[in-house]
Amino acid sequence: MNNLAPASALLLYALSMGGCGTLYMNAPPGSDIKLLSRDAPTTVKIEKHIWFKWWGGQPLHPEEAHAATIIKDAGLKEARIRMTNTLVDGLYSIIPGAFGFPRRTLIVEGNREITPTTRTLVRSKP
Amino acid sequence: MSACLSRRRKFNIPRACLICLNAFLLTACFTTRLEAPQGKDVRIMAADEPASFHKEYKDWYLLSGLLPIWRTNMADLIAKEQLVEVRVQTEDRVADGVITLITEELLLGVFPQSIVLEGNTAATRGRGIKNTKEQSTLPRNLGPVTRHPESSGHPAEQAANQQPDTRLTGTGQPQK
Repeated sequence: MNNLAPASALLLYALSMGGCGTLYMNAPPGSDIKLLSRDAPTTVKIEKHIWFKWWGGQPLHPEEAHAATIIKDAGLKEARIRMTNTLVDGLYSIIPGAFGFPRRTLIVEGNREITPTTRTLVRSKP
Repeated sequence: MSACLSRRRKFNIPRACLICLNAFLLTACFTTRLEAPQGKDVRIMAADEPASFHKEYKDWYLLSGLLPIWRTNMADLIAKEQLVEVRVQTEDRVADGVITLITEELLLGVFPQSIVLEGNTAATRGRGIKNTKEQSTLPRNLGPVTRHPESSGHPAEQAANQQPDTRLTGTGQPQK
């Protein structure tokens, strides 16, 4: 019985660390944001850390889980989006993660104006 | 006294190391990129726009993300499915967490991640099905949405709806 207690505690801790979380890579409503390719040049890079509560069941600030918020705030016309969980996120999550607050990182790179290299690719609206 | 200390050391240090290792392994590293294929013109969709294409993919990592076994390449998928507008959502589900948890204890650290790709091809733009799940979670302050009563919500359709009626008669009155 005595030996089971540490194992149970470890399992409980591990279970509490297994956080969930949903992130949305989208654009603001009514906008026309062009998706950039991997090697397209960008002038703006925004990194946002998104904290979740209830073991990832809900973001702490729901609007932050949408890339649309970053795109809108930065006034981007073209962008590429990356969702990542870095080693730093992992280290940050060790203590808060156990209490149900995991963290993720959303990175948006883009341009406030359509760049000449990508201008030719912009489609015409039907 | 020394026996007590050695006993404590014997039990606590390995346990602490095990907990730290476990915590470190459970904080997996992973990346999902939404990028356009080379030379393709792709638009990022808003959360409330209809999408006709909806497919779920799973990324798999070993050793807590150190070794990607299967990673979805969004650019390739967009090119393959001939999508002209897309949006993606990444989900760490409970089932994924359970897989990680079990395999973590076996020191394999299998980490699955669910990715949902939605979009439209040139033929289906503005004719898809609304993503009700995503729409319900969308905050209301992400920008103005002026929508025609019968509109599908697509920006191109909205722009068309906002244009003034040019079908005028000789008297300047709109045609009936």
